[in-house]
Amino acid sequence: MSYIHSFIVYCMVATVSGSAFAERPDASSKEDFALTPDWSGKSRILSENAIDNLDISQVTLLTLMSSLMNVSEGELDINVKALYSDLKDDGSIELNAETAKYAILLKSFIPLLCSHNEGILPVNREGKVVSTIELSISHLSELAIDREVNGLSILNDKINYEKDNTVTIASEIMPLLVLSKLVCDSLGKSSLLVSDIDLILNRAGSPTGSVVKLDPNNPSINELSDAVANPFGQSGEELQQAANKADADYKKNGYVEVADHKIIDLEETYLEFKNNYKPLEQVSEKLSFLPSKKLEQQGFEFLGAAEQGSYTDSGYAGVSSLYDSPLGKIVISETDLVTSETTVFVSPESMNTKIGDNAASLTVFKGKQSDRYYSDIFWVDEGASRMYTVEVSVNLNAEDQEQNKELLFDLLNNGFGVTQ
Amino acid sequence: MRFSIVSFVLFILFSSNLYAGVNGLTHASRANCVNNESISWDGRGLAFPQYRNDLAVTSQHYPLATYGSIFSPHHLVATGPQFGKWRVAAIHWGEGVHGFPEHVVQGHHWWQINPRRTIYTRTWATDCNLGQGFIRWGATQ
Repeated sequence: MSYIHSFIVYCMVATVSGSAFAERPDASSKEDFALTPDWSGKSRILSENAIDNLDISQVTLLTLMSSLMNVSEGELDINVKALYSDLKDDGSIELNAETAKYAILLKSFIPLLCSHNEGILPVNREGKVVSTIELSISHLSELAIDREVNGLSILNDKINYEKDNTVTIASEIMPLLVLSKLVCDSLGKSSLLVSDIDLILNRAGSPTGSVVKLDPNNPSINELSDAVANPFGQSGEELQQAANKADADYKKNGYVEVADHKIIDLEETYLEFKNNYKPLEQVSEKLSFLPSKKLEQQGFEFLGAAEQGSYTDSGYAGVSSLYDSPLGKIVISETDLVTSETTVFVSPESMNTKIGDNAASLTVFKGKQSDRYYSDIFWVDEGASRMYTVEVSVNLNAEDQEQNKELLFDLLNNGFGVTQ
Repeated sequence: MRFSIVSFVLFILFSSNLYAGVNGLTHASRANCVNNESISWDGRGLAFPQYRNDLAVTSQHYPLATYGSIFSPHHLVATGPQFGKWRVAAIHWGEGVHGFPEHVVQGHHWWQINPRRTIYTRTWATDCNLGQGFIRWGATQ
């Protein structure tokens, strides 16, 4: 099969009653098409097994997807809404002819797009591995030539064929490709253009690589909570209940009780691992980002830094810096959310303070048996796409730590509150 | 395979990164290097239980030939939930031995710090990622 750069097919679906198309025929084609193209920017489309004609200006993507999957529009509604920025209040989308062509194209691709066999790669006659999209276009082209279908329109400026028969897809087609994943999932088949969490975040209105509050008022909260909880064998509801209990305990007591072995003693850690902490300049060479400068404050002595976090092509995406201070040993961890592709999910109640303009979380943990304490301050600077955690082995909510707490917060506000 | 062994030996001899993962939770993937795998570890957890974490790792393996194509076939290796572990590894043993078909490995690393905060991060690999060292690789513990 040789691919031609102009690949014009007609937007028509074979029906009992007739057909329509959305684009004029290729001038190079010698086929005599029975219908006159509509140049007004709108097209008429007949769904495959439908009786009624559907005016494309009234056909919504929900309708198309619904027909494909035998799922009600209402069920699809919330899944589709977040993918588009110009939704009407009733959730419908008016498609222009161009977008409609992609929708029909998508419909034809579904059988191939939704199928994959682990370990079995499709190959052409020369034995070269071919992509699924190539298979689909090839299939449609053959159908058009054999006149089994009068064709579908594919704009050749949206799909570029490379000399080695690979295909580049323009970004405009992304929403439909993402939709195809929804379709495939609903059909019980897997399809991976993006990971599940990207789709879920998309539907919830949150970007990846940021902090996401598990807000009960978010219409997607159930799906979001499930996505966060499921890797740990929990339901979203169970996770939410555990978070609510922790929130309630913290509000009541000023700390959350945990098993003793979860209380971190930073003095002990320093004694054991101090040789692994190096000068920041030396560690910076191993990082994928430029870390924040060392804190300069009387009473706070920088002891060393160590790389941590995700290992990327350009280095580690995190660093921890150890200080001595009036509060004892302090560890400040910094993570670059972009190079590590990190997303943080938090309960809204836990964000109970601020560092500069950034919402922050202060949590104190207490060992159930030991009465030892450990405090953790967390925030994300979304402007800089950085995540910070500050750890100290004291109870920052205790009365005798009030001055130290103020000192620490002043230091953090001055050192990190302003985007660097 | 031979290259991987030589690289391993050279790395052990000359690397200064053997302690990668000792000073904080580290996530990495490696591909086409004996195994295809994704792993999260904190070496401090060997001696200190407070540095053991609640983690779940899924490793997604795409054939290099079709990676980047729409709906490239793939398969998954998942650890499932692992509580109180210092190393959690999603390993496809021996998949990287023969070098062909080569894979792109994507790791999905979930870390539940507490019920109020969960962190999700991703890693990628097309090679051994020698900078990560070899000492800390291995099965979930």
